[in-house]
Amino acid sequence: MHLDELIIGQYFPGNSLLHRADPRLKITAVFIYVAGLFLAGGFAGLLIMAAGLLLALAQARVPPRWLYRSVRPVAALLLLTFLFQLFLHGGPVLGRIGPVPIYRDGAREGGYLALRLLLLVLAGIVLSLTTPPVALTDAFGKMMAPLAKLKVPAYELALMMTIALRFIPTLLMEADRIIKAQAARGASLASGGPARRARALLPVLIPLFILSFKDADELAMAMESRCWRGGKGRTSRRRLRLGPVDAMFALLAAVVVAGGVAIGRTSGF
Amino acid sequence: MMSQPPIISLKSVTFGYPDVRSLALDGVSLEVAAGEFVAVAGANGSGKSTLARLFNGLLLPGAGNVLIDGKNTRDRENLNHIRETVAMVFQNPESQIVAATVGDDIAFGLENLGLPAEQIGLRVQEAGCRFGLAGLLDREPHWLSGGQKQRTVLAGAVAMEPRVLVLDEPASMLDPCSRKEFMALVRDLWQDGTTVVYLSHDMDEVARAPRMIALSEGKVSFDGDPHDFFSREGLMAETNLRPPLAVRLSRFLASAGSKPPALTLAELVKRACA
Repeated sequence: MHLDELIIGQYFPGNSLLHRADPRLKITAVFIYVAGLFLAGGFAGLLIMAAGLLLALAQARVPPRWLYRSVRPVAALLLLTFLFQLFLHGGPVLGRIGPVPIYRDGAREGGYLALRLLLLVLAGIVLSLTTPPVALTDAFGKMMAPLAKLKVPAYELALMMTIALRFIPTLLMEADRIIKAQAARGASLASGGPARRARALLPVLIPLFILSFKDADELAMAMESRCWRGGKGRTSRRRLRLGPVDAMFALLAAVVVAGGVAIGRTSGF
Repeated sequence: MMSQPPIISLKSVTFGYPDVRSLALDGVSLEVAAGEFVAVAGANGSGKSTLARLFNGLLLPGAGNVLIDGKNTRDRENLNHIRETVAMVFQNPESQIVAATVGDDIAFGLENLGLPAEQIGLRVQEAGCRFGLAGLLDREPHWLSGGQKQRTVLAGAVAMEPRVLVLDEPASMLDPCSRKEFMALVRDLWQDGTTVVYLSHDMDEVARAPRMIALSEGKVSFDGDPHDFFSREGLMAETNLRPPLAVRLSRFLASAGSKPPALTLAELVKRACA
């Protein structure tokens, strides 16, 4: 896999309102937005919330190609959700696919649930596209910091996230190297049935696991040699302060979610 | 021989790994004075990396003592001071970069020391400029070249302002150009007063150091001037180390008079490299 194809944690650089907003606020906004999606209760509400999200994406100048690439992996799930609901509900017949009737309530419910799922996924994608992974983990660490009083290793959890994100490309590159080395010696990962393909993966996975353990061991040593003693007494290079941009972002997010929920619950559509 | 008090002192140090019959280090005693540049050479398995890990308290000796700036690594209360005093750079930069960006990785050690954010910012900027990373502070590590990655690791170590820098074969994964660049940076640091302990099995790098320690089967088999070491063939054979290219060329030229002359440049190079 080429690194350009990697979606997880992919950041689209920019200077928009979304990009500049405090990552803690953005994470909170995503949680509230998702809650709003479940409270909206009608198409009209979802459409307002979708419009808010699309406006934010346009303002952040995220190219549609990036969105398409991000949504593509869940396209099958969206379609399945729609089709499943399509045949579960009754109501007037809208049309037929061969001998199978399409009911109005099924189409409506399928469309509603698929749209809600799409917006839920998009909200997460917007967060990761407009926030550098390091800012995200930093924000998670800071948001979880009060939990340290309850002996939750908040900082360590945030560091685990950082390291996991940091090593995804490294492991992908190592896997790619192993696959090429095995292919050069005649191994074929792309031919045969599922059982054969699964078996063929073993010579890739075993060296990858060994390399990962070696990397983990060396990383632990490098961290210790640089005075790592856990989160206690540690300071941070990044300081997060709320400013006017954050106030504007919070206001707009509140308008979109509150508007969506209010209209969704009262419009009857 | 040494005018300054030793910043590193090993006294009869022995170390063995579990389930391995032979000792990795066997009765090693040595001293390194503040401001020295010492190259530690040895074939694979000679105990170089084990020695490096003892300097920073990552490993503790089975017998004997390791003193850093007069403090024993066995005492856990000394570990913070020892790790602030001795910074380490290992062979593979890929597995030493902790953070998701160059700047954050340089800051990692400083954050562990509990420095205020302003000071961390300043030191990150300084280290970034010094090691040619100023424009790459927000770059993710997987987009860096091998040389840039190793410079990031070096910058992270140097930003902590250690008195000693221990480098365990840091250039072995670099291309010749990056290796030369990296060595120049290490020399600059030494000239600015940092004590450097450089572990390598590349004899061309070792030969440039003012002092050399050769390890063989966990024991110190030589400690002194590299000129002296490379003029003793028996010692080189005993330690399984090959002389640097310049030494081989000098010997070849010295013995060339007794052989029929090489007729082509290719033949001359072939003979010199044999």
